[in-house]
Parts: sequence; structure tokens; C-alpha cells
Amino acid sequence: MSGVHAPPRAPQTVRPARPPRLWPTVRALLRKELLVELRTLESVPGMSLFAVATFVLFHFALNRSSVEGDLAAGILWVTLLFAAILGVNRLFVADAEQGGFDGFLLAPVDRSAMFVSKVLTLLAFLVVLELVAVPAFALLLLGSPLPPALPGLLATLALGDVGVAVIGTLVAAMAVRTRARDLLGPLLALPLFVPIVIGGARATSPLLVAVHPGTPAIRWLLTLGLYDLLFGLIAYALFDFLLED
Amino acid sequence: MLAAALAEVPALPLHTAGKYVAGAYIVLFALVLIYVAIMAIRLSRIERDLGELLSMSENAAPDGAPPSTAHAGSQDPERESAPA
Amino acid sequence: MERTRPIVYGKGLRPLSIATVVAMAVSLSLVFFYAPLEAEQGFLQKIFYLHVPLAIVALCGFVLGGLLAIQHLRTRDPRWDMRSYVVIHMSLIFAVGTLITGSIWAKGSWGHWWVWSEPTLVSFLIVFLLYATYQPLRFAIEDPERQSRYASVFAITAGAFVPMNFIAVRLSTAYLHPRVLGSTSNLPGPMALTFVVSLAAISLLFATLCKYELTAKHTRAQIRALRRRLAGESAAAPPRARSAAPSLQHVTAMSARATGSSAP
Repeated sequence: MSGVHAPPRAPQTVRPARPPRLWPTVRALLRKELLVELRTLESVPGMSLFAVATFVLFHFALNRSSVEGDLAAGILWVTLLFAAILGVNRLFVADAEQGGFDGFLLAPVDRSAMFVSKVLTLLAFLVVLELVAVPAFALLLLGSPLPPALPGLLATLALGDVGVAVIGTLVAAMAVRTRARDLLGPLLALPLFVPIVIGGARATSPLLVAVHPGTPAIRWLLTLGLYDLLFGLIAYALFDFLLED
Repeated sequence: MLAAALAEVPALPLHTAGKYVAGAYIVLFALVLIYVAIMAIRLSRIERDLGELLSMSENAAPDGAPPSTAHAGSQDPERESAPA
Repeated sequence: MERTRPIVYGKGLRPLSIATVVAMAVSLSLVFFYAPLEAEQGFLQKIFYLHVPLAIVALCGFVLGGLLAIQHLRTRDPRWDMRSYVVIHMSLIFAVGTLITGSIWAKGSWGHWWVWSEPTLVSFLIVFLLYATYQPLRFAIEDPERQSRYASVFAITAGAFVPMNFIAVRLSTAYLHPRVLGSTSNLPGPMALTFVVSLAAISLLFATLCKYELTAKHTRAQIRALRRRLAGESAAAPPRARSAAPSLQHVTAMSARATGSSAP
């Protein structure tokens, strides 16, 4: 049998390397973001302190020791939003300054992973912010008991947080590589936050009443949910266009 | 419903309301006229540019060579600040 | 064989302007000589025929700017970005007009220059605040390609925001006061006709002004290109000052490719 080649093996099909699927990439990125935040503590402590300081300011500005209803809901939501903007401003700064964008673009991963991971990061920051700010608010300014209001409040905050996270991420990505990034970010974000404030404050205000607290109207929760969904989709679709360079 | 609305919204008598209506239409008129003025400025600038370009092309045509860039550069209206 | 017929934005500008003049004249005549006086507000109500069409056209303009931006992101043709920029710019001016006329109307009706109970006015204030950042955003990005891309992302986001904002604001004011200023439902015949004609006139005005603006920008770009050509290929193109407007650097005087239709 010498001189005769063995039958050739079936050619190994070379499958093109598929980029890793979305979730593992997101998990990896999220882990990185949270680790960085835990080590540097850049955003969350600042945001929380800012919120508490703002409550103190409101006490002096409004000359009141306790607030209820519409006033309480308004103070809470506006303070949370301004504190969120602090986090939004810092969201992409490290990536822009230290080449994180380029590194990510070179990696063979689904580009949407950056969007999802940043949204989840901002969402995590907001949750921690609220863990500090809401009890502080109840302690310092709120004139009605907090525990009965908690379920409705948490639901509304959850919906609002998603919207703030989505819009904040999109706006942060737009603003970070411009010249006036600290100014443009808030300017872009605040009008986009208005429907979230409308839904959130209107839903929360019947909860923060001492006598006969109500429940958040479904209409406002639906508004928030719809807004989150719509802008979640839009931001997801548009984010890639901001990354390419 | 009408009575309730009437009670809330005092209708202005004609001679006072006329001023507001006129004011609103004047605003529109003014906006359009401001735009016309801006366009007029642009048009005169375009005319000036075209005159320069015509003279540049006449300079270029006789000897077939482009005119000196210094001449062209110094008249460039696009430069809004002095060249560095 | 490529066609090298240059794009002419100004084509059709004359019939469009004539149509605008005619429509505006007819609409003004209808407003002041034909439409009946309204029972509640009397003569003041005539502002309605100016304020509401301005509002509708501005809103549609903002949404249109978003749609044009989608086209830009899809085709990467800078011309779409130019159209989006012009439309948004013009809509912003019309939005300012809406706010001013609405404020005048509020002063006449309620005695205050601003009322929170009128959802159209409030929504417009928010939309104005948002689109007022469009120009600064563009100006803050120097690289023209990135500027156009980011501006398109903004235009699409903001264009989607406009209807959501209207819904949200209208929901929030629904229980405060009955709407007095801007109701367009249940208009009697003559008023409805006057309103439709006014809407057509303002729309034509918008289209004419946009076309006018595009023609002017395109002419400027062609002059720049001609200047570059006459200064000779060896001359370095003089650096364009930083600007927020999209550049039409692809335009050259002679070889602009036709896309099969002459501009918008």
C-alpha cells in the first residue's frame, strides 16, 4: 500500500469566528464598570452627598421644616435628577480620556454591549443614590410617614430610573467628546427628562401625604413605562452611530 | 359650559383686542422681514465673491497659470480670523 | 456614463414663492373679512389662525428634521444632513414665533404673558429648550463628519421626543383648566375653512424659506469650490472657520453629480 496516500480527511470547515453574544460581553463590561467605581468611588458618593446637601438647601430656600404632597414629590424628583446629572457627566469621561472607546471598538464584540452595560451601570448608581437620598429625604424634609408610601414609591422610582439611565447614557455619549461637555450634557438632558419628572412627580405626590395617602395613578406609570420603552429602543438603535470614529 | 368659560375668560372689547391681534401678525411679518434682510446681506456677499472670482479667472485665463495664491488667500472671506 | 448635471436647489423656488404669497394673501383676507367673530373671545380669537398653524408647522418640521436625519445616517450623504439642519433651524424660528404669538394671546385672554394651563405653549417651551441646544452641540464638534453624525443622532432623538412630550404635558394639564386657546375641534364651517387655508399658507411659507436657505447655502459652497479651483490645485484650501453649519465640501462647481432630481 506504500505510495498511496491515505484518503484525505474531510476538510475542516473553518467557521468564521462569531462575536461573543451580547450578555457575556455586557456582564464583563458591567463588572469592569462596577469595579472601577468601587475602587475610585468617583460618582456615587458625590451624587449622594449632593442630594443630601440639596435637601438642606431646600429647607432654607423654602423656609419649611416639612413638606408633603406635590411639594414633596417635586423636591424629591428634582433633586434626584440633578444628582443623576452628576453621574451622567462622569459616565464616559474615563473612556474618552483613557482610550476606552478605541479599545472597545477594536474588540470583536457586539457594539450594543457598551450601551447596555453603561445603562445598567448608571441604573446601579441611581439605585444606590436612592438608597441614600430617599431615607435622607424622609428624615430631613418629608412630613408624612415613609413606610406606607414605599411600594408605590419604589415602583415609580424604578420606572423613572430606567428612563433616566437610558437618556443619560445617550446624552453622555453625545456630549463627552465635544468641547463643552459639562455644559452640553445637562442642557441636552434636562428637556428630555421633563416627561419623566411629569410622570414621576404626578405619580408620587398622592403617596407623600400624611392624611389619606393614595396610590400612584396608573396613567403616570404607563407614561413612564412607555417613555422608557420608546427611548430605550431609540437609544439602542442610535448608540452605535456615536461610537464609530 | 359656555357660561363657565365666559365667566373665566373675559373677552376683550374690540379696540383693545385689535392691538394684540395686530401685534401677533406684526411678529410674523417682522420675522419674515428679518429673514429677508439676512438674505440680502448674503446676496450682496455672494455678488462680491463672484466679482472677485471673475477677476481671478480673468487673471488666470491670459497666461493659463493660476494667479498667485497670496492674492487669492488675502481676499478669502471665509477666514473669519486672521490666519495664524 | 455619469450625468454631471449640477444640482440646483433654487429650481422651483419661484413658483413656490408665488404660491406662498397668494396663499398668505388669501388666508389673511379670509381671517379678517370672512371668518366670523367667535362668541367667547371676540376679535382676539383671530390670533388662533396664526398661532396654531405656526405650532403645527413647527412641530411637523421638527419631526421632519428627525426623518431627514435618519436618511443621513442610512446613506451618509451630507446633503441629507444639510436638509435636516435647515429644517430644524427653520422650525426653531417658527417655534419662537409660536411662543411669542401664544404669549400675546395669553396676555389678551388671561391678562398674563405666560400661562401654565395651556399645554401647547408649555410643550413648545420644552421643545424650544431642547432644540436650542442643537446649534451649540454642532458647534462644539469640530470634525465635520462627526458633527453631522452626532447632530443626526440628536435630531432623531429629539424628533421622537416631540410627540411624547406633547402627550405627557397634555396629560399633566388636563385636570387644571379647560383648554381655551388652542382647540381645533368642533370648528364651524367658515372658521374651519379659514384655518385650513391659513395652515396651507404657513406650510408654504416654511417650505419656501427652507428652499431659500438651502439655495443660499449651496451657492456659498459652490463659490467656495470655484475659488479653490481658481486658486489652483497647488494652493492649500484655506481652512474653514469652525462653524455649526454642515459643510458641503463635496460640492464642486462643475462635477456635482445629479441624484436624478433637483434638490428638495
